[in-house]
Amino acid sequence: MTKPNMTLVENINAKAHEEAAGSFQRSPRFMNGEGFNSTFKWLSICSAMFILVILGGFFVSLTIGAWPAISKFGLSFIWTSTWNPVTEQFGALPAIAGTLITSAIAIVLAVPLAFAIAIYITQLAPRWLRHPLGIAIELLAAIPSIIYGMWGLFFFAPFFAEYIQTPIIDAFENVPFLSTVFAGPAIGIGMATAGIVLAIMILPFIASVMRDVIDTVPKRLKESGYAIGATEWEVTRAIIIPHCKTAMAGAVFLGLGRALGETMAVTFIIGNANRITGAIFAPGNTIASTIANEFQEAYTEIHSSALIALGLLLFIITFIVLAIARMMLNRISS
Amino acid sequence: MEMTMTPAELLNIESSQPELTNEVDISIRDLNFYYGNNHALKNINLEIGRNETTAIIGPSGCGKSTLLRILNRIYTLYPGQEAKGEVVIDNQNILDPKVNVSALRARVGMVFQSPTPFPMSIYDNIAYGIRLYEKPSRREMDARVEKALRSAALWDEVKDKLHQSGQSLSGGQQQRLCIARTIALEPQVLLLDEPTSALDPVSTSKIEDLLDTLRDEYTIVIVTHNMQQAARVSQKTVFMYLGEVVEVAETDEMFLRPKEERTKNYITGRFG
Repeated sequence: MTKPNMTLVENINAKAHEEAAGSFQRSPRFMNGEGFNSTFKWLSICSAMFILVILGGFFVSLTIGAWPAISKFGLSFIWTSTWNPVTEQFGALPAIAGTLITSAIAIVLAVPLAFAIAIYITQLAPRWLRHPLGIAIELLAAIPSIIYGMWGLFFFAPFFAEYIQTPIIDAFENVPFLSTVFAGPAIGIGMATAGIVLAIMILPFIASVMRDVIDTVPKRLKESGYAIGATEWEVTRAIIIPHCKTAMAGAVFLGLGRALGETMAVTFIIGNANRITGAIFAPGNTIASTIANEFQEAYTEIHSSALIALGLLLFIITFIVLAIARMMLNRISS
Repeated sequence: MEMTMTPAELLNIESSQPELTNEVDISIRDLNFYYGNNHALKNINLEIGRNETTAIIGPSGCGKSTLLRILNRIYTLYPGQEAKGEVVIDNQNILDPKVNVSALRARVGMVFQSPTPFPMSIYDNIAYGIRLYEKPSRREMDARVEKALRSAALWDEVKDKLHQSGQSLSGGQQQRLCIARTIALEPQVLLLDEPTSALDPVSTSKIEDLLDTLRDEYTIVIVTHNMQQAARVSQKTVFMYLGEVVEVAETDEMFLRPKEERTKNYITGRFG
């Protein structure tokens, strides 16, 4: 135990301690156990640190890759809308707008449904149905996004064009504001379609997190609601929902994080047009779909750098959204 | 330990209990209860007197909480739990499926083991239950809330922060809030399932004092692990063991001269 850099007094003290502790020293078998323990401890610390290193590494390498674009366009990258690889002018606004609009459509459509599903499964469904429904939702959440994309392109888009877009465009043709919002060719692909398919994708995800959140409400708290004579709906509304509303909002943000970053399904059905219109049936693009579409043909340094800058932007946005989601979900445990 | 002291002396109980009214409020007849195949309560016959406090004691798993949970039919929340027999309150068998559970629970209130304030303000914790049944004017509601909080000996502590969250109170205050919330509905019976087991001694004694004053207006049934508590707050004690009622007696009598060997063993701490 004597270390070279100890002072004399420390040395003597350490020796005295060792002698005093002598009779309590562990047997060799335990010493081995201790050796394994510390190896294991260091291994797990290193593994955990590795995650942080990867996270930091992503950020650093994205920033380095994006640097040419950042230094050339500065902050105007975020709010200009020209995206022209030929003239080497790059502005991310249409992609940012497309990302936000499709995600907003997805959230608006998915959240009420997910909420209703979670309430049904946890409160209303007969007991024998709860488990199978829960599993079905988890399986739905596990379908690879490329399949949603294919389904969206081959089945949903034609259906949407014929039975939903056409009637809506016709209906609002002469209504001042709405005619602009619902303008666009009835071709089935576009921002609305992408938003709807995104909604279907994040629906099971939000529903299953909400279900888990509702299940954390203490049994005694629910019982005390019933004990004053409240009905199931009254207990749900006055006790269960207020008890976990922050965590439910966390579930929504978790879904939003997914919707913002979703790539393949959106790339299939958004139409990939780099422009901003107020029309939700019009084709558009998102940050992720732009990257997926253009990476292979980005021959100039500034083009690929602009794409990496888009990636950095998406990274930062989803990071913030998911951090908010985590904070809200953690409330439930305290 | 030698048995020269009576159980009551061991527990340090004063023998000064008030007269009983002898009016029956709840009659339990041939009650059997099943958790699926588990026969948890066996042929319970018991009468619970009006405006007196009945304590149910017994070792863990003896069925005392189960018995309590039948009296407001809270057990019906869970499938596979079934009660057979009769529980008669005011000439009505409350186990009859035709009995409206909301109306029953407004008359038979329940307070749980750990405090369970609703996620709302102190005021709304009380007002919420009242609004389920009536639509009083604002002023009348204020009066009802104040009355309930006063009856639960909580008013002075919370009157300046009625609109703060009920969950911001201390554990003992939360439990009194739960009692206030229950008596705000002006029930006839008050069921308490180990109401002080999660509380410190000071809060416990406040709740015990409170139970003493509430007895004038309510029929109280309290399940407790703590025999001193049973002795302090109740006039009648029921000893249960393995799903059966072993002995029912006036509390003094039970602790001074238990008739059954098992009762004696339990209250002197031989098992439990």
